[in-house]
Amino acid sequence: MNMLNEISQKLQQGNAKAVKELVQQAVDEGCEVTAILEEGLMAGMDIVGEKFKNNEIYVPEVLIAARAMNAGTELLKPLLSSSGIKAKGKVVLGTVKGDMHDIGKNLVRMMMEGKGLEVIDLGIDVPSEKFVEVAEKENAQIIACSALLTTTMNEMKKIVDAASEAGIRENVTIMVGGAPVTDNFRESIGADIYKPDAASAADAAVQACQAR
Amino acid sequence: MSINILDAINFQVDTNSLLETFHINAESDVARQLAALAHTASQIGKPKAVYKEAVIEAKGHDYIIVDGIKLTSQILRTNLESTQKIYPYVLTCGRELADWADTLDDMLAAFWADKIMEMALETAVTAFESHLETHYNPGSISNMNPGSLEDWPISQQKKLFSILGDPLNKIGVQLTDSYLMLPLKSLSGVRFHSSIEFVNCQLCSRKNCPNRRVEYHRNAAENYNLKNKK
Ligand code: B12
Repeated sequence: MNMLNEISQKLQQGNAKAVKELVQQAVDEGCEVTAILEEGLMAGMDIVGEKFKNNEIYVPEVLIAARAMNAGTELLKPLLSSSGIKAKGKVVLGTVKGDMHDIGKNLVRMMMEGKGLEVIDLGIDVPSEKFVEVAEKENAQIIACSALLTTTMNEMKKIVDAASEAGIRENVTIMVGGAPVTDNFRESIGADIYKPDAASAADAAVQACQAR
Repeated sequence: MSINILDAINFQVDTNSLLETFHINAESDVARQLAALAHTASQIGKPKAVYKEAVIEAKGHDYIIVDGIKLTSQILRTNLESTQKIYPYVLTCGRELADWADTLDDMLAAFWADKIMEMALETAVTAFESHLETHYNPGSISNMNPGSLEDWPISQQKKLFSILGDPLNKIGVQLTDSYLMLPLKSLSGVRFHSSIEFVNCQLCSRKNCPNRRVEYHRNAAENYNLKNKK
């Protein structure tokens, strides 16, 4: 147990090298892979996420911790897939067509990855069909779209419609966000989840994946 | 009227201000990584600006005509009541930095590159402002950007770009089909003389904006004869 705690500590400090070594050591000593992942890496990342939410730390520190987390999960990946354990879920994320603002979207990605979700980031100016196409191909549980302009918000409705047309609407949870978006807007376009910030977006995504 | 192209703007990344803003220890590995990125960026970074002085040829109820091109906005028109000139502009962090940032895979490096490009854009804003002040001396000045307020929609970017000729060639800014600009860190708008300062924010009710400059004024919309404003 102590070692898992140490992994969590080193991760919070952003010490990728130490995290990697400790994870290897834990594996060698026969520690359960899921325990290393959940009680070591993710537990550390949860604390980082919480501190970020409370403005105790800033984006670079979260990214450094995320880098340390990646160093650890890279080692665990082959073991996880051979033991049949899957990632918590897969998210297709992007800024909608016609919109170039991406600061918020990048934060959402960072927090989601920190929660152990696999995020496929399509970038900015992403057409509605692309979201759906990739979600279908990758078997993603979640489509998450960001819009910062009142004019591009309406693209989100197109994504909902495109998912229905492609016949995958039942299989994906559609999340929407960005400064002009509200829960009323979400309801009006028939999307599933709206969240006002990156941390709660990540929590809701994990929940949605678990519920599936 | 002749066009001003500012493409030799001096750019140095202010690493210390970044370290301070994000609470990073100057002795840490992270600070060293940032310093290396900042070094490259300062060498290749070329923020740019293009603008000109344009005379308003005609004013209608909710539009003005400049160089034969019609800009439609009630608010812009009202703001220009007592002046005959505008200064349309496009500013950018420059393609050099945007291309460089595209090559960075590491998320933290990409984050720093993003901040560095914002800094470059700010440098372009400052250079533009001081050039405008020295060469045209317009006195107290206000600003509007297409797309910021419903009344002057983003589609008007096309008109603004045609007034400036072809800024794409001059400073490497491209207008997409949806009227946004590439590189991402670019800004467009007009400046004009006004005795009372106009700031977009006074007509924008959006909450939690990191860039808000003045409070939202519920009644201001009425002064501009705008319909349906909360
Ligand atoms: C920073 C900024 C810029 C920057 C950088 C943009 C970038 N790389 O992203 C610069 C200066 C380049 C810029 C330029 C422009 N901008 Co701008 N910009 C902003 C500003 C001030 C802040 C946006 C931001 O990054 N906020 C911080 C992040 C962290 O917040 P966020 O994006 O909202 O994300 C959070 C949540 O919303 C949520 N979230 C986000 N996405 C998602 C997704 C999901 C699924 C979920 C659940 C949650 C979620 O989580 C995030 C973190 O907690 C906004 C104003 C505002 N208050 O939003 C204007 C704003 C969006 N811009 C605006 C405009 C008009 C422009 C320009 C067209 C102006 C012009 N004529 O030049 C240009 C276009 C640039 C281009 N390339 O074409 C307008 C849009 C108006 C409208 N109609 O809606 C705004 C609202 C400002 C205004 N009132 O004028 N911009």
